[in-house]
Amino acid sequence: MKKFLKRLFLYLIPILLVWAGLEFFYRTVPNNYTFKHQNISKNYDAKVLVFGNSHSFYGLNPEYFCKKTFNISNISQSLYFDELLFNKYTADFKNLKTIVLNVDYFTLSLQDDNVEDQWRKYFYAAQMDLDVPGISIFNPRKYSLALVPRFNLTLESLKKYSANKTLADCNTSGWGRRDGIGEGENNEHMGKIIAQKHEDGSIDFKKNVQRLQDIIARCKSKNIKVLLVTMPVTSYYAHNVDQEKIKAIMYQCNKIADGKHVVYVNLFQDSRFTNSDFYDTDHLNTAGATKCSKIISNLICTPHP
Amino acid sequence: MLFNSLDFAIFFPIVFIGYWFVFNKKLSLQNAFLLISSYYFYACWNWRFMFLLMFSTLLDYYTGKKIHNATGASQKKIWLWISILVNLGFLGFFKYFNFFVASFSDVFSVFGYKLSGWTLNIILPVGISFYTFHGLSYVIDIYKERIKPVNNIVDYSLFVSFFPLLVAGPIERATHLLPQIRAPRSFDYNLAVSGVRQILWGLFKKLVIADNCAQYANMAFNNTQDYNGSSLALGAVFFAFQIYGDFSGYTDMASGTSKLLGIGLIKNFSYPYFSRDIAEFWRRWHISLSSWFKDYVYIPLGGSRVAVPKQVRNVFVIFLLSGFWHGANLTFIAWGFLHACYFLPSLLRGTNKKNKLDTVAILNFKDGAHMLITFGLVVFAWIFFRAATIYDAFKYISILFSGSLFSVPMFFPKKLIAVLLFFIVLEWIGRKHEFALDGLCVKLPAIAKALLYYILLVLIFYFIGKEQQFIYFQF
Repeated sequence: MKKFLKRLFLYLIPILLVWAGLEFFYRTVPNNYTFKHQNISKNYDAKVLVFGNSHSFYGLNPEYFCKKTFNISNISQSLYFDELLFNKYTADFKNLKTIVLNVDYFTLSLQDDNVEDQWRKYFYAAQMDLDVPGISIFNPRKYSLALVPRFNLTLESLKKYSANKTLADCNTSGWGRRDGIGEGENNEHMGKIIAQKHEDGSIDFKKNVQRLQDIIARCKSKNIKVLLVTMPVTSYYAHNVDQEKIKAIMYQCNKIADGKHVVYVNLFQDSRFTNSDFYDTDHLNTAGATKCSKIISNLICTPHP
Repeated sequence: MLFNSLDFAIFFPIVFIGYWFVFNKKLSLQNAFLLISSYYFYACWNWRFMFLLMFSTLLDYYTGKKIHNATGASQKKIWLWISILVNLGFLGFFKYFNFFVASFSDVFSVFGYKLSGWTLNIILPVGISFYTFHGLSYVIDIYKERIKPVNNIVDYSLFVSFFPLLVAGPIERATHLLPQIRAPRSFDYNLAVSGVRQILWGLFKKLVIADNCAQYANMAFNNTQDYNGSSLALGAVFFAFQIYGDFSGYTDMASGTSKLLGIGLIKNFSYPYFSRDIAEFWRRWHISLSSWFKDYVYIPLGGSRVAVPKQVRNVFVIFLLSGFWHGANLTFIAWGFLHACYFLPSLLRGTNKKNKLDTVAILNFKDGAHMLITFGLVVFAWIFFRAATIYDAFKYISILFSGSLFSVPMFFPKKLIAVLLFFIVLEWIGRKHEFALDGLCVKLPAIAKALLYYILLVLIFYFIGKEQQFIYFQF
């Protein structure tokens, strides 16, 4: 037995060293979570907060907003985390007048603890100081971020770090920049693939609609205006999603909107955007983000009838 | 709790330490500890179904004793049938109830009657097909007087619930596993080393081969109409490797884990894709299930020692049953039917035992061609197994065998194909051993062995893809 355990340990040493190295990497290298967390406190005087997923992360640039804005959205950030972030931070934003909430094709039907959330939640907990329900104290991932993402993601992160010396994609106001058009990423074929990727086959919106209504109720009590935004996408993407489902999403958003405290802005197939405004089939590039930010800014600053 | 999960990586060392260092003084304590660990392992899936498992265990333990103690043949038979009916009743209810109701409903609808709302929202208890067959083999073996009943409920419960094989087999026999459970065990260095190797090999098969092939197989089977014939052909081949990597990988992890506890499990796979005919394939694929059906269904029906029409019937019975065992879907029955059709000619010509479990020494053209043809037939049958419905399977086949079969595939993952070729070469080199990595390690010096382990580990970490549920958990 001794011989067996000794040999096993010897074989495990390199693995333990790699694990320790990755743990150090994830704990020290800045990423979107640590970077946003650092910058939130520097933006407590913001009047507008942008929540949501990668569509608003890349698509809404606070620089073009008429009022001071902080973009707290993140890649694959679900409404579940929007709500947690809202509950944790809004009290610190003393001048907050408006929040922008992303409602895209997959937002309302997304299940809690989906594939992305399953690993991202540990980063929210460890690096954005969120109290994420459902992470048991017996779960080793709570204590080791190296155990969280899949190894190929870690390799991608290592590559990205060696090229950029950071993993953070955003600037100090929380916006992620993407210039031009991604090679081979913005075309009919990719539109189909991405639309399929975003299709969960569900039109059960109950849970997420409730979540929206809870956020709205809290905003109303604080006199904060809510802008529900369905972000623009390319025609490649728009044609390939379930048209009935997108209609149901729009119907739901219109139902929630009251035109006063809650305004719904549907940019899904807005004619002001062309396919060249997008980096890929569903994410705006820098030029598209400028256009979109100005539209939203206009809506925030122009009083509604 | 999956074998390839962090939870298991924590659970198993605790069990290992408790088993060899804390409860090693007394066999009964060791077995009780293993039983509790096994129930905990099962409860991690769904603790409610643990009571079903316990009930099934108690039923077979009790009926086994009753059969043994019965004085008359009719009394024995009654107890045997009680066990069979209750076991199959549970299996039928949880696994097949909705299928039969839906089928009856379809039949009635032909005559203008509408039966709706009869199906139930039934959750399939994980491993029910496996532990039911464990229990049945025990009771039938007592009835046939091959074994005597066990007098220790802990030992028997452990036989049914031993965690490495509880949820996806292999389907053990009382004659093989029970004597190991009842004999004192001491730590065997060589067995433990082989166990660790087998776990590593199983992880490689599951995480690198199966999970990565699954992505392309899913693409082809979920969006059949979007792909050309050559892509669908590739998709079907990827599925063949997915299911092999998935199931045999699971079995390797189960066997390896069991070896670390000093218990050997029966062999479940023996390089099935190197088979030269379908009969050989069935001697190499899911061996524990096919031998179960052979011993408890095929032979009692007369096997191949009856008149030709009955031989044909027997072949169809076991292949259709084997298909149906996988689940309540016509696709599985069609898969079984196809294999029966493949198998029948060799049975009738008396060539079904030509290629026994010996392995090909040197690959010659004839054997290679036979292997390719057999593989092609198996892949074709997998289309029915994987498709959601019979209609989908035919749709898949109609596009597959269209003119576009000779066009350029719409996906061709070079890295994955390179890894698949590497895997096939390793399997070929190690084919004379229980599992390929064992065969390779016998031939290699220590440094090369270590290097091979790390290459596999790097590949596992590099290729670790979108985690897929083990296919056989649904059965």
